[in-house]
Amino acid sequence: MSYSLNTLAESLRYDREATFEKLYEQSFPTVANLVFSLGGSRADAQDMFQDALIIFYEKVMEKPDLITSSVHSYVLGIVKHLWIRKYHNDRKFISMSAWESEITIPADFYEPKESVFHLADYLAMAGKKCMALLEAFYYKKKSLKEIAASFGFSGIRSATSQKFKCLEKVRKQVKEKNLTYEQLHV
Amino acid sequence: MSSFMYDTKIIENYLSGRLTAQEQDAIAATLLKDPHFQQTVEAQQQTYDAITYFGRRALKKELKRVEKRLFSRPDKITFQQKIKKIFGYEC
Repeated sequence: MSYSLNTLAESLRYDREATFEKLYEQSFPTVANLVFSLGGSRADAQDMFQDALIIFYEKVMEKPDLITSSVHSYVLGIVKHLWIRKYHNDRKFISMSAWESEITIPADFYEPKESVFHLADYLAMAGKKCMALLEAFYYKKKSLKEIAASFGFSGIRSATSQKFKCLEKVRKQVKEKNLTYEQLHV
Repeated sequence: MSSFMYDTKIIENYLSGRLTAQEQDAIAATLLKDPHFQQTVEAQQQTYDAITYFGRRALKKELKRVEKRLFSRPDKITFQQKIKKIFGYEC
């Protein structure tokens, strides 16, 4: 099983959108059935399914070996958590297996701090190329070799140094923004 | 304190717990006495949080595109009918 999840992580790394299209087609009907049986709408099902795919993606890209079930069951397990959270349902109305109840949802997923999305907006405008590079490395888990090729760096060494330069540049912008914010709110 | 402490790479390793116990402790001790260093480390953590948020938002957009394709392409009619059957009139 971990072999296939490693393969899945690979294909998500190189061809994310097409891989998600397959996953979507395979798993959405089951999720739609679950959400419908709980009294949810199609919009609920779509929204929760997409959030579940994002959470699954982050987990599989980080540590594919930690996921011991199939993608399908794992995503369904995440949707159950999202449902409980959204409708404040009591857990006893949704049957969850032991491993399902152990699935964790990242703490900042439900309510990212307001400052974070303002910051993301600001940074997206302030330095498009740097944010794209940082997203490729930290979020999409692209290899430095691939980053070098797609961003036009001469090699891994140069990609590494650009990545840290960008991190430093963005960190500086964040720091300046924090200081301005403090001055405004003293 | 030496300037290498401000290095993004060291802070990255510190924040992800990749340093040796001794190095982690040394940095934690510096954090307590150096407010500038503390601001830098906080800003770096906020940077990672913002990257995650940025990445999630982009992925959500991508998934909406996938959804739109699956629900409009004629060759995905079997999929569309499956969903229509579940929710009935809603589709």
